[in-house]
Amino acid sequence: MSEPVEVTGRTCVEFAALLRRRGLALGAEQTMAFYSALHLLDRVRLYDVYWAGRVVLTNQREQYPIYDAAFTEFFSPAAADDGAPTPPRAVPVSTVPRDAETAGTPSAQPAGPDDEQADRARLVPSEIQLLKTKSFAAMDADERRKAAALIRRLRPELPRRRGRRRTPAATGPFLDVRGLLRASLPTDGEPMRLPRRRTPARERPLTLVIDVSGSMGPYARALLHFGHAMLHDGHRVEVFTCGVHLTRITEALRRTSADAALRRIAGAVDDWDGGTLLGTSVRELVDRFGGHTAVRGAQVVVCSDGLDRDAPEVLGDAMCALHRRAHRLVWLNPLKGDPRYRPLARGMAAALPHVDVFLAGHNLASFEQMCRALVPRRQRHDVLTEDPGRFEESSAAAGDGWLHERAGDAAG
Amino acid sequence: MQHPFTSPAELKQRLGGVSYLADDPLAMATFLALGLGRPLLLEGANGAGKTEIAKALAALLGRDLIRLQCYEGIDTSQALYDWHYGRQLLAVRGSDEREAAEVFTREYLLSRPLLQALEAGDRAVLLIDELDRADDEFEAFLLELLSDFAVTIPEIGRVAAPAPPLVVLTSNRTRDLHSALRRRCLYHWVVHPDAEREFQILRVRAPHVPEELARQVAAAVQRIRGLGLGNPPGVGESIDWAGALHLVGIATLSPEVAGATLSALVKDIDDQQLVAERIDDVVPSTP
Repeated sequence: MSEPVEVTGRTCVEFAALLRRRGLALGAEQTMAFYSALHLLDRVRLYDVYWAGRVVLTNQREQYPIYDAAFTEFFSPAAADDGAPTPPRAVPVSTVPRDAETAGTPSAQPAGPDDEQADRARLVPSEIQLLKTKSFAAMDADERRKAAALIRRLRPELPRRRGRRRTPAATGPFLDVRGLLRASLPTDGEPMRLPRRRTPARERPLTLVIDVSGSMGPYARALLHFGHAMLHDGHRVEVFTCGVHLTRITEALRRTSADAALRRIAGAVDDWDGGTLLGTSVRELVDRFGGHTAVRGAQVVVCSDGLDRDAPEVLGDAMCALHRRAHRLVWLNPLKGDPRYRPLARGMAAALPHVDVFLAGHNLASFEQMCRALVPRRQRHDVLTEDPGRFEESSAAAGDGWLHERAGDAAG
Repeated sequence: MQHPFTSPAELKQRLGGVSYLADDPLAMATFLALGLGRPLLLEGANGAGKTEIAKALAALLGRDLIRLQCYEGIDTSQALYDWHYGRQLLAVRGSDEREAAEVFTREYLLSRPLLQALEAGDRAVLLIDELDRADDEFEAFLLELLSDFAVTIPEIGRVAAPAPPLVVLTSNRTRDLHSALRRRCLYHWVVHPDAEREFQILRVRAPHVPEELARQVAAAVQRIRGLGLGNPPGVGESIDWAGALHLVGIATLSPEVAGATLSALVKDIDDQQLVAERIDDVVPSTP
C-alpha cells in the first residue's frame, strides 16, 4: 500500500498538539498511548498511523472529521516527500455536528449587564400583569429583560416516571438486606429494625426544539431563556434549534449566562433568521435521536410558526414518528396568539394531528399554560379543561398563575 | 500485555478463522486494545457486529467470555459483588460469645460478572454490553475498573486483576456516555460491512446458501441500507434473510420473493412499506 514511515515521539506530540488546537480534549496519557500503539506495529505505514491514531486519539464519532482534516494536514506533506502520496481512505461515516460549540473556543465574555439587571429588576404586580399578556415581539429591550427574569421564575414541575434503581430510604417496598445485616450486627444477628429501599422517581427529560427562522426571533429567544433556566435548575433538558438543519445547543447553553449563551448561539447557529426546512429538521431529530433519551420518553416542545419550505408530508411523517417516541408533544405557535389565526399553513395542518397540546407561546401567560401542560394531570395544581388546549386555548386569562405569586414574592 | 499476534493483519486473518470477518479499522482497534491493555469502546448501528467481536475474540484467544448485560437500575450488587447475607446472618448468630464472627471476608463474598472478570484476569474477555442502557450512576462504578483493572470493596479493600482482562464495551447511543469513561477507552465506530465483506460473512455464517444467492442478498441489503430506513437491517438480519430465501427454495432473488420474505430482514412496518415501494430499485428483476 505505502512505504513504511518513521514516526518519532516528537511527531506524536506535535500531532496531538495539532488535534488539541482543533478542539479535541487530549491528555498526555493519550499521546503516550498513541506513541506506544505505533511501537506495537511492525513497519508502520501511513495507513496504520491513521487507523491507530483514530482509535487512540478520538473518542466520539463526531471527532472523526476533525481528525481526518488534521491528519491530512499533518501527515500528507510528509507522505508526498516519501513519494507515497496515498492518504488513507477513510470509511465514510455520515457525521453531523453534534454540538454547536465544537468550533469556537470559549471566549471570556463578560457576563452581560442584562443578566444582573434582570435579576434586580423591580417588578410590581401591575407591571407583571401587563407584561404577561404582551407579545414577546412587541416588547422593547427593557421589557424583554424583565420578561426574561419572569421566565426564570416559571419553574414547572416536570412529570416523573418510575425509576429502576433501588436506594436506601426511610420507607419503601423493598428490604435493604445489606442495611439489615449491618443493623443487626450490634444485636448479635437479631434484626431489630428493617431498613427499606425504594425506587425514586426519575424526572422525564424536557426537549425544546426551537425554530430560529426570521419571524420567530423574539419568541425563540424567550424560549431559549426558558430552556436555559430549566437547564441551570438541574433538570434534564436538551435544546435544539432548527432552521435549515438541526443543531444541538445544550452544551452551549450549559456554559454561561443566558444572554452570553444566546450570543454564542447566534454565532454558532448559521441559520439563525434564515428560512425554515422544518420537516427536514424534525426528521433529522427523529433519525439521530429517536432512540436517545432526548426524544424517547421525553416531553418534547416544538416552537415554530409552521411555515415550512418542505413538503407538508415530510413534516407530517416526521411529527408522527416523533409523537410515537416522545412522551408528550407540545407545539407552540406564536401566530396562534392572534385569535383570528387558523392553522391553515400546510405544514402546520399536517403536524397538528400528531400534537398533544397546541399553544401559542407568544407571551408569558401562554408560557404559563405551557408549563401547566407539561405537568402531568395528577400533579397539576389547577385543572385545565378535559383535553388541555388541544386546538383551543382553554383559558386565556391565567389570572392566579405561578408567575404572579412568585413575582410577588420577589418584588416584596 | 502479551498476546500472540504480531500485526493487525494477522489478527484479522485469525478472526476470520473463528468466523468473524473484521475490516481493517476494527482489526486495528482490537489489536491495539490487546496490545495496550486498554478497554475498547464500540459504538455503531444496531446489528453491525459489536457484540459478536467480543465473542469472536474470546473464542480466538481461548478465554472465557464474561458478559454483563446492562439495564436501567443495574447496580454493584448485580454487576460487581454482593454479600451472602443469609450465611452472614447465620454466622453472626451462631458465633459464641467470646469470638465475634468476622463476616465481611472473602468467603462470604459473591462475585458478579465484573469481579469474576477481574479474578480471571487475562483468562477472560469481559463484555459490558449496551452500557448506554444503564443509568449514568452506574458508569461511575466502572471508572476504577476501566483505568486500573481493580475495584475497591469497602469491607475488604482493593481487588486487582492479576493481569488485565480484555474489556469490550458496547453502546447504541441511546444516551451520551460520560467523557471520563470515554477517555479511559479506545474508541471505534463500527459500520455496516460493505457488499463484498457482507457476501463473505454470508458465505461463512450461512454456508448452505448458494454462492450466487448470497451475492445477490449482499448487494440487495446494501441498497436497502441506502434507502434511509429508520432501522437499517444488520448483519444478523441479512443472514436470516439469506436463510429464509434458501428455505423457500429459490436460487435467484426476484422482487416478488424479496417482498414476500421481507419479514426476515426489515422489522418495522414503516420501513417495510418503504422497501416494498422501492423493491424494484433494490432488487433487480431477473431476466
